Amino acid sequence: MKRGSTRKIAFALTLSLLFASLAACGGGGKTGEGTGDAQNGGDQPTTLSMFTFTEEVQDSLLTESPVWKKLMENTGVNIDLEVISGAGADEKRSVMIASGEYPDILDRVDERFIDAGALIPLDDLIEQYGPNIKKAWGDSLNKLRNPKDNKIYFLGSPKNRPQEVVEPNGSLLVQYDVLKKTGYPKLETLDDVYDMLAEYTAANKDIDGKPFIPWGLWADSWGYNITVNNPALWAYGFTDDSDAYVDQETYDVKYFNTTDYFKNYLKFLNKMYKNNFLDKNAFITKYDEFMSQVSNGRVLAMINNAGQVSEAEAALRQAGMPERAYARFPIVAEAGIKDRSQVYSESYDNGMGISVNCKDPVAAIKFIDYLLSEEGNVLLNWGIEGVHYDVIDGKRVQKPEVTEKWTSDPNYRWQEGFNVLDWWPQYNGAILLDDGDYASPFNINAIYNSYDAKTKEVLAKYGAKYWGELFDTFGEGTPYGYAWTIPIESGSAAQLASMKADELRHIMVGDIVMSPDDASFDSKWNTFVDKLYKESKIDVWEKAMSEAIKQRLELWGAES
Amino acid sequence: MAKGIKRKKSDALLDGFNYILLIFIGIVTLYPFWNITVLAFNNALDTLRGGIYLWPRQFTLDNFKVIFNMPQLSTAFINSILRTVAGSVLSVASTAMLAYVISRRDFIFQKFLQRLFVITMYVSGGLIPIYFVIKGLGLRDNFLVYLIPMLLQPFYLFVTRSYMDGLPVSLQEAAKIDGANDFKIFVKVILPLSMPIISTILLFVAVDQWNAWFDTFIYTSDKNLTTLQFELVRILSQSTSSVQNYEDLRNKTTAGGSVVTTPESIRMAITIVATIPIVLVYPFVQKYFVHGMTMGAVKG
Amino acid sequence: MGKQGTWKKLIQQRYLIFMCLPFVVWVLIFSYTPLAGWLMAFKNYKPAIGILDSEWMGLAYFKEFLSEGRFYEILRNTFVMGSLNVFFGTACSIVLALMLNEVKNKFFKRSIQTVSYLPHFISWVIVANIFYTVLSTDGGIVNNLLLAIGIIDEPVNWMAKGKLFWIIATIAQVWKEVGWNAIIYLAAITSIDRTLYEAGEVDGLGRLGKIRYVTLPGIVPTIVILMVLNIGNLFNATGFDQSYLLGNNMTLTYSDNMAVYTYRYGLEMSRFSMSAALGIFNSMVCLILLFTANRLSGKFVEGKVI
Repeated sequence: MKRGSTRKIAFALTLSLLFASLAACGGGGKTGEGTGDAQNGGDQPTTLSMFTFTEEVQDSLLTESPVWKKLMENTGVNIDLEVISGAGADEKRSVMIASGEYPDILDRVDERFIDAGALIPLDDLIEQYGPNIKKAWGDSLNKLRNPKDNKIYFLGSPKNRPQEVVEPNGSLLVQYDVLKKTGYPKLETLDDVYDMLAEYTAANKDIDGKPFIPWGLWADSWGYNITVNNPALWAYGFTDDSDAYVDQETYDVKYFNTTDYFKNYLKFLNKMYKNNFLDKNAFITKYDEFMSQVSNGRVLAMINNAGQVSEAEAALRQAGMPERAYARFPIVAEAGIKDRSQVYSESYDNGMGISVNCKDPVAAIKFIDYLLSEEGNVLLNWGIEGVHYDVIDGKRVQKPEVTEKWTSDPNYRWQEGFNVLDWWPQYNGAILLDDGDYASPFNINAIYNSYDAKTKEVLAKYGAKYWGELFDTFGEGTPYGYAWTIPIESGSAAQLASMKADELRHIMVGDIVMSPDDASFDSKWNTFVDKLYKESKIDVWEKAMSEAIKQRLELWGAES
Repeated sequence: MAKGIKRKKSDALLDGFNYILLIFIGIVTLYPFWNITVLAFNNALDTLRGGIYLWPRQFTLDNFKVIFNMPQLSTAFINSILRTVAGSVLSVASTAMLAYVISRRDFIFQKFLQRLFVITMYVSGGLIPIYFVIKGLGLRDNFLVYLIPMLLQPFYLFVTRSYMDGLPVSLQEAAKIDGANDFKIFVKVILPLSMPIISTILLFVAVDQWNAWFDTFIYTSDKNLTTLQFELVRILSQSTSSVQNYEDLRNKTTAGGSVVTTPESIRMAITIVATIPIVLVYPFVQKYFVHGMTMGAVKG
Repeated sequence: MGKQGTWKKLIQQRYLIFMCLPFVVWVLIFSYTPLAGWLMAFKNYKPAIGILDSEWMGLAYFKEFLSEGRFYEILRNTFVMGSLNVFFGTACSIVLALMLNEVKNKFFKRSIQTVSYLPHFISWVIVANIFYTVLSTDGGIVNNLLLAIGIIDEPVNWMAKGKLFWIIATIAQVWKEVGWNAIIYLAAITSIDRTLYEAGEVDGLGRLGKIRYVTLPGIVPTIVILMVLNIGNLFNATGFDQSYLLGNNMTLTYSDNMAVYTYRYGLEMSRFSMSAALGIFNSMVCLILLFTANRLSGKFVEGKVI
């Protein structure tokens, strides 16, 4: 019996191996199936399938929208859109890469698809069929080149023109009430913030019976990046290089969390902790709990992405506590440091590309080219003339009823299909197009009018009309762009090191901040840095990043 | 006599203790679900502020509207029902039949079969090779992909077999003497006796089918094959992302209170929508749980 | 058994063979064929060049995780949490089933049973949320209760204590699944011959006696088979969500498990080969556990379970 069963298993395995190879062969031959059967023939519009790897697309609304239909009409292609995102997206991507079943166009994809050989180089196509692409990108086209073979694989939204920032993203956030009760202090350094909080909490202890949390932290999962790591970057005048501290002269990279800048920022948090300005559970607080703290008006100040708290602000306003919403300020560690948190460094790490399975790459590139044409730009951002906007005195003006619906119904723009695909190859935001008019229906007055009375009051005290005015938004970026847009090969030793370092900092940094005294702070800090090098081998990552940055500088510098 | 009274007393004590404990269990399992229901019917922004326990503070249907505005709702719903019904029937029939075969210790391949199936519970080639198999069989974008790969689950198979082991052998032998073949014995003798376990497995498989969404995502791109759970998962992903999309939020929040709902609240509503149908099915299954009824009927 | 005997038996059992044949084909196709993919674990699989042309790596991926310090911490967590889950999960489900079985009032029994399995349908995201709320130092019911009784003087931050995580995760899992798993035992109880209870009555057994000497032995085969199957699955008993959502920065050294590790070091980085290597390792551990448990099961029931 025993021998029999072994033999049977062996037989089964042989059979299965045979089957697998058959299946794999079959798979290889039939790539691209299920991507729509309409072929380019006669007057029929070309159907191109597109996968977009972003959660933001409300595809069911978008594909039925008038602007989308107009886009199809103008370009003569029919885009069959599918959204790959959220739960299971990683698995779907793996399967797609392994089976090579790509659609015609891949949108918002990164270097992992280049590494997998999913995309075709666009250089020749752009040269031949992309006049608008060439015009829009100009010299910046070089910044799209893949360091491995110097070719272009995907196109995103060009960021080569100055853009006004109305609402800064990552910044110091302070409750209006705190500012008011402390006499609208001038906030420049972290110490100013500390003093302000001390003054406020001396007189105000709690809200609705719950104690205030003077300094808010959400350090769980990626909250660590936006409320611990990035604040330290902003405070010391860096742009968003994320994990990398880049020496601006030698371009050598150190892991930012090993630098004295970061140590000093943790010292600041430690000071906050020792004076009970941090929630005791700051380092275990989960997102929902944090949101509830903010929504109840308990968190007085924090450095965070404004987008993270806007829901909570809406809740506060709805609950009749508009004075608990947040003002945005630039903040630095000590006087003399220049805030560069909102300075844009042009660089690209994802975009729209044409897959190796594309039936008609020429139609695809022409479609992309249209998006960057003036007509395409205006259509995607302003909508249809006469329906969504009018031209008055040669300037585009959004129809008042459109503005109204736009600001009151979050789904409206998806239903109409304009001003939503802002990562696509097209200009958007407060950027001027070649016709001298804004690329999108961006309107400082409209935004100002939508502010509530409290917000206007606080803005007036600081002499600004919108928060962005308080920041330096046109400053010079770094010559290499943002360090985090530089791809590190997936699965490489460097990537492994950064993954391990990320685990380690989640485990250890909370403990460092919650040290009772300087001696234990220092010893914990030293252990942390020691482990980053010895256990996580973060030096491997540092070396790889240094090389990658230098390579990028060469790539960009040599050709521009 | 005295002993009897004493026993009555201890029985009552036992009963009392049992009831109190069960009521406690009932509360700790029901309350969170009740709270989820309450939150699903509460204004999302108000929910963020917490402190809602027994009753909605600001009643709204907005969270459900997001779900019921889903464009493919009817297709998704029909597909989910179809796959649940067809999938459960097929799966239960197969499980029962195979379970009977491996419950027959005299069957020549019994041990081999048992091992063959039990190993698959713990060993998997991973998603990518499985995808190639599914594709090679032409099951991509095919409704059968919901039924065939989920046909058997070894866990249910062995639970069913274990139940069949407990059935009296004498009945089978009697049927055999009457000249029934093995298939007949299975249908006429084993199946009726196994109704409690079969209805249990039916419930389990139905829940698996109803909750499945991953196969829809990976193996189909035809929108006509979408399922309710898959659409719910997508709605959740989209709502989560719009929170992280800063540009979107500026437009939402500057308008002051135009935010209709949040991912947290949608999740609550989704939990309700996904659970209710299954909870409604359960009483029908429970009918077969009546102690010893079937056994008595056959024996009598 | 002679050759002729075998043939005779085959013919005799032809119905049984026909009844299982389609499923044998099914299992070979859907469960065994994909195992060919294990080849990936020994190669540096790059989808662009295909599995056969990918570079041969031998055991490099296995060596990578086996030589990493943290991997053993993760093994420990997976093993400890898995064992706690399996043993307490099984015990609690059996007790609940026995308790429900003792209830005479049909309506009460059905209501409690229905209610008790509701948590099965609550996703881990919400479960984690519930546990954080209940255990919060900021008005969480557990701290409030303990403060009121006087067991503790100030709120305890339960979620920040690494080792406690194992217990909290187990409680969460038991709470979530106890009612659902009790269904199987309830079904098993219905198969117990009624006359045995009558005989017990005659022998002078009380309520507890009947549970001890009739009900419990009646479901032992079910208990044993579920135990064996679950011990085999012990390594997968705590999933990604349970560890990732319930854990936090302060518990990472106790909460990270194989599922999280495999996701981080495999799928997230598109390292197909690493995923496959970890998958093989996992399968091997499962099979060892399974067959060990199976061997031990011989002590409780006649013959081995599988």
